[in-house]
Amino acid sequence: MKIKEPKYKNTTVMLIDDNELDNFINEKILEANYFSKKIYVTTSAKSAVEFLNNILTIGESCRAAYPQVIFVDINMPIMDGFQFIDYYKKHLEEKINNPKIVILTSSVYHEDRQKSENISKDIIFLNKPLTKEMLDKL
Amino acid sequence: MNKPIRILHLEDSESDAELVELELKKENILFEFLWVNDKKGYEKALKVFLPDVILCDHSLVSITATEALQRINSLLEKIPLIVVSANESEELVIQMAKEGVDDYIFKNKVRLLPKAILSAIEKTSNQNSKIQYHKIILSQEKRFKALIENISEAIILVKEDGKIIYQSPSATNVTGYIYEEIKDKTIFTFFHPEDVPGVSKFFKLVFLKPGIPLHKSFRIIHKNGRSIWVEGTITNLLEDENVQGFIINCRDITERKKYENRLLKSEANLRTIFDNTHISYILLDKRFNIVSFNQEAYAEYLRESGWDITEGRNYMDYLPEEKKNYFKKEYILLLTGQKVNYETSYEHSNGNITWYKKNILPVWGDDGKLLGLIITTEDITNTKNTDLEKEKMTSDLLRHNKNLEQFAYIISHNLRSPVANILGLSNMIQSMPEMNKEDFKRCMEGLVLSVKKMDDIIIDLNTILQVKNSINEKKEVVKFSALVKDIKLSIHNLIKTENIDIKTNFIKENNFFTVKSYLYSIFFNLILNSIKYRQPNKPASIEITTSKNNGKLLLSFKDNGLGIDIKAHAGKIFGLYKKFHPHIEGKGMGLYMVKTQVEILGGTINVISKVNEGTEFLMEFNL
Repeated sequence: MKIKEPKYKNTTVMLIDDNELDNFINEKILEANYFSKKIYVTTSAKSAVEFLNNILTIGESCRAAYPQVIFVDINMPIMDGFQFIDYYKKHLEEKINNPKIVILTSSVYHEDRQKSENISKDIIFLNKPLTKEMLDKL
Repeated sequence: MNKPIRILHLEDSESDAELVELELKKENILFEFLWVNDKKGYEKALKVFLPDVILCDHSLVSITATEALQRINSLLEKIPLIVVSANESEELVIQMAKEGVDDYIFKNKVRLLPKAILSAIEKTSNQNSKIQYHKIILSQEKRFKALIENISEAIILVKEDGKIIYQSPSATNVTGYIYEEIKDKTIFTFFHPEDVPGVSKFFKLVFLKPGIPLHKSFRIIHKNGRSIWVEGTITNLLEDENVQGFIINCRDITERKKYENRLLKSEANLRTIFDNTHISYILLDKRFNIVSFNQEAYAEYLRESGWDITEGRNYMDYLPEEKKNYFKKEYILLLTGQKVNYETSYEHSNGNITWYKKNILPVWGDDGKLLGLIITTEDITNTKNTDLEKEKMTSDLLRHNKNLEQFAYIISHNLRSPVANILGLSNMIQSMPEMNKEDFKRCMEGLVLSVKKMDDIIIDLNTILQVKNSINEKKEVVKFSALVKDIKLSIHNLIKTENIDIKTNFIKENNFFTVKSYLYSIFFNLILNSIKYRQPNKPASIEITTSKNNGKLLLSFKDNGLGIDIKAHAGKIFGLYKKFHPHIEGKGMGLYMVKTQVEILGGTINVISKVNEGTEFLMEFNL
């Protein structure tokens, strides 16, 4: 019996969260739901920015590494989720094939959701924990 | 005679006229001679030549002597007329005399003419001056009578004993009595009973100063029974033979007196209002001289500034040097049409503060020029205190509201975070039964960690709530020097091993009446923060100083540590669970607690910082 390669929804996604426990949970959920073949995990928005800039400099050969979805937490030290989105919108968005931006936060504070909508309607705002239902809708 | 006699001759025969002129020239008479031969020439000569005497033939074609005479009789002044005629009829001479000619000279006796002329002129001139005199007398009398009868001024003449011996008709207008009714009565019966002693005394004074009119106003009883005010002079003319008495000159001033009284009353009313208002008023002229002020102003300036304000002195003289320029600036503002008002306070030795609202108002004249200034001062301590209380209540409410919001945020965010993890982990355990051992172990560890995190947060929140709820802690005088000494003692090991230098300067202010435990906590947190976030390769130094400004206590905490990027973290520095140095362990509660406690003590806190240079916290408290 041949083991069939599972069908992944995406080839590459990125997880940005300073809390390692969150990253653990999210990674497992993504894996269990075959959401992406590759999952990049970073614990700070700064290193995410560095990573994205790096794959851009490498260029076309690295195109497969461009994430199709970026999950980002809001509340992080040094560079928070909104600061990351701000940077991303200004410097990266067009160069990396317009991936989906998903804010994934434990915050149920309505102002955070409002702020996200104010930046762009295209940003998806999700409350932790990440579930199968959520991933199905993406 | 110096002036030539102007002689007009009305004669139709030129030879006769020449004869007369010749005859006159024989005599030593200075004269001017004009000959006319008809009515027209006569009329013209009367107007232009103005003759002193007229010689006239009895009958000319155009005019007769009678007509010539009638013509001059209509003139104001009489001009003598002498008939010079050839007609020697006796009847005619008599008739002409009757008609009023001054002389009749026959033509064959013209040698008599010069004498006749001179005597006629003299006679006429006498007559003329008599007429003139009578006219003058008559008109003077008329005028005088008119004056006395028509003026509103009464003239009453009384004898030494006060008996009335004359009153002018106009006196009736004043007193209502005609002369017959008061004749020989004593003047004192007509005075108002209350004024009799005063007027009697006045008469004695007048008596002592003969000839000098002395002024007085008094009341008399009018015929209609009402008392009226009169004003006038009494003159002692006892020694004047023509008078031999006192002349009283007076007029009715009742109306005026009424107005005066009304005016006095309204002025008194205004003054009463002016002096009884709770607002103080100072009126200055345009050179800042004090024109007037009310009792409140006097009391207030004496009480608050120790100024004994005096009318006539300059307001600027009272102002201390440093306020003079300030006042001048306000004055310039006023000149440009701006309003000047401000609130000011005075602190009393008992610690009470009185608040005043000052208004400076310009007074403009009709010509648009500044006449002066009015400075009003109103005690608004009560309103002010109410306002301050309201302000404090509002800011307390706002602060509480903000705290509640912060709480809502903490609960929705920080507390939600471990809850979300617990949910996520339990989902995993439920939905992934074939999970490997290692992952399962990690899930269990995660659950324990999350629950512990939740518990920590709940404990933190409890601590914060406890601090916020104990606003009514007892206050006491805390000495900064002692407080710092206590803290140093409690962490002396840390200070020693880490080589921390804490410098203090409390010379300006060492005492603070406050809640000691909070102040201790603020100092402790800040000192600990400075130690925690010091630069690793530099000996840490902390400087704590106090100063005073405008009745406020300023507290400065300065270190040479890592610093915070203020721009990047604007608005978050004092937030709960905010951390700026992730590599150094900490909860992110220290500065949040410091700010909370500073605010509970009624103060404010601000931060200045530069990365790798240091941080300074500046606190301000009401003393």
